[in-house]
Amino acid sequence: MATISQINAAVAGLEAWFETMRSPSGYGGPVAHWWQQSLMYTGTGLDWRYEGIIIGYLQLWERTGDKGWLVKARRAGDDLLAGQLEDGHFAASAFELNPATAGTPHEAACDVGLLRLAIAIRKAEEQDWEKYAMCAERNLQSFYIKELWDAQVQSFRDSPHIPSFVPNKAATACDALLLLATVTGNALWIERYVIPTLDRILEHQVCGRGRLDGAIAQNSFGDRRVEKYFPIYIARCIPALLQGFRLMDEEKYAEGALRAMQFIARWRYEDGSLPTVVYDNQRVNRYPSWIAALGDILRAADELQSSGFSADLTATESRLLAGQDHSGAIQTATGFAAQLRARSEPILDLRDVLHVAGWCDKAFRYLTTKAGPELPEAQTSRFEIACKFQGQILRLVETPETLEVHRGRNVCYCWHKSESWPRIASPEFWLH
Amino acid sequence: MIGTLPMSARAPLDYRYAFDAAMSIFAGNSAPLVLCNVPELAGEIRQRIPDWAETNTAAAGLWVEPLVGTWRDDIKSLAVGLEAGAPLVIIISRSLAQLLLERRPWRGNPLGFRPGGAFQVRRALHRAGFLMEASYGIHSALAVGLNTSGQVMDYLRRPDLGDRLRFAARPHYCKSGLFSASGTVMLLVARKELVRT
Repeated sequence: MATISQINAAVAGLEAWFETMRSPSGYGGPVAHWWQQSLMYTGTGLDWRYEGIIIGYLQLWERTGDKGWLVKARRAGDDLLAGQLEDGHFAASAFELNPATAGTPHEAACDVGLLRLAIAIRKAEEQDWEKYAMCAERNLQSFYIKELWDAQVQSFRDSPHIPSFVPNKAATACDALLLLATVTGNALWIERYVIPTLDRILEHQVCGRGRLDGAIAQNSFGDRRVEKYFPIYIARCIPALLQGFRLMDEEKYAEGALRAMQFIARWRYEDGSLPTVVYDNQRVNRYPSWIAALGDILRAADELQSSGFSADLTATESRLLAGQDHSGAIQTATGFAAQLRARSEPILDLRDVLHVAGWCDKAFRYLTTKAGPELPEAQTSRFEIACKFQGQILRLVETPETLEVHRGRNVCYCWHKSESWPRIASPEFWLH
Repeated sequence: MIGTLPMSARAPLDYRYAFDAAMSIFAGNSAPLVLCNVPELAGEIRQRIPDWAETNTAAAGLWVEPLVGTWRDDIKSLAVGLEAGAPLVIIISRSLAQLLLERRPWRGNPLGFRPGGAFQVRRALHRAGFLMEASYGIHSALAVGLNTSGQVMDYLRRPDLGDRLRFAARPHYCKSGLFSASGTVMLLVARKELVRT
């Protein structure tokens, strides 16, 4: 595994890069994702990036004792407070579907960040923890309970109007409700909402069937299950299942979490990467092969150690750390261009090398569990790389102030960090 | 505030894509004049342009869905309301858009549904002192075909191939030039002439 100085250097670099992604209202930047991109909306996204950012800063505070990190965690919490709409939603909370609001699991992930912040401040006997808890509770009450809770099937929908269930998103809602129960001391949140939801997650888990054992189906519409298994999303189910086990002392949750992680470990490649999706017929799409998002896999594996999970994930951690470049950020993936033909190309796709706050936060959250007691000084530097996008050879140049993409001598994409839209975006960047 | 429309109330992707594209064309200008003839799309526009200009002279313009009965009047008001040199983005539904389930309850009689409707708009804009700079067809017939094939593959229990077909569709979602006529939505970019001769 990496040395502490490697971890500290990586965390310091990431943190310096996050600072460059801030506008007065919060952390922005384009998004590359499996199904869709948000290369056009580049403003603040009050989505799951806040989960990893807030928790990462809190972990740094805890591990270094430097109160400056708490100040930054509070600043991120204040972004969410300022961006909460009258109806309880957070503005632009849909990540790759931004600038829409009411994004899932994004708003619950913001609530997780806010509640962890409230708990940490309260524990330190500092002022003002209540406002963060109230902000999260308001969102959970008005959106998750009032709009998404399906009393008939006893679980959270993914959309108010469609009978649907997405295990990893529901797990994030459970994470938030478990924290809310801690803050309020009210176990009703757990009994009424968390336990039935965890049971529904387990209903989506594959039992037996060889290499698929332990996988958790991506989603369902009514009774129709979509049998696609995404390791990074399955990993996000694990902490809630483990917490369910700790609270209820029911083995099935621990066993479910362990089998989910064993499924992930079983499909790992030698280089530490994972397939992006495993289909029910056991075919895979290896691409885009995530890098920054591996933080969530490594975090889940760490949490499972006490439940008997033991696999060597050194290669996965090395892949994560090797993805860091001069900007301080961690590369999103490799092989976006191979999504279609399954053949990786020698030159990376633009979306591979794009740094995304909502992926880098996963790396930040994981790495900060191991950082400290002191971080080195770090600065973000100019990062420049050749890449390809829709058949064209381009050059991506990121500085602390701007992100530009050049085609020959022309600039075909130019985003001034802190602005909500790129100043220049030729039609290929309109891609969703 | 940007980002206020709930996911469940979003417009079809075709229109969202066009609005996002328009935002890059408006970059560097003050709030554009917006003339939107589809109330169902106002929320999508408002969450991108919270303070759009409605009456005063503006440095940019967005015209959504020219309608059969009013399009000539719309052009007159845009010609008056836009400054010289201002970009104007026009979003026109084409007949293929009638297949979009979400837009079926929408009222109005889009000019773009008529054969030659988009051409009429272009010609009238030219007469009113606008230069056409570009035209794009969004959600092209090819993308529709590939996405539909993807659904067929899902049905045949080959979701792996279904996903690949959907990935294949994405680079074809937007077509320019001659192929811009093939799509559910057309996006025209015009600019008000600096000097009218």
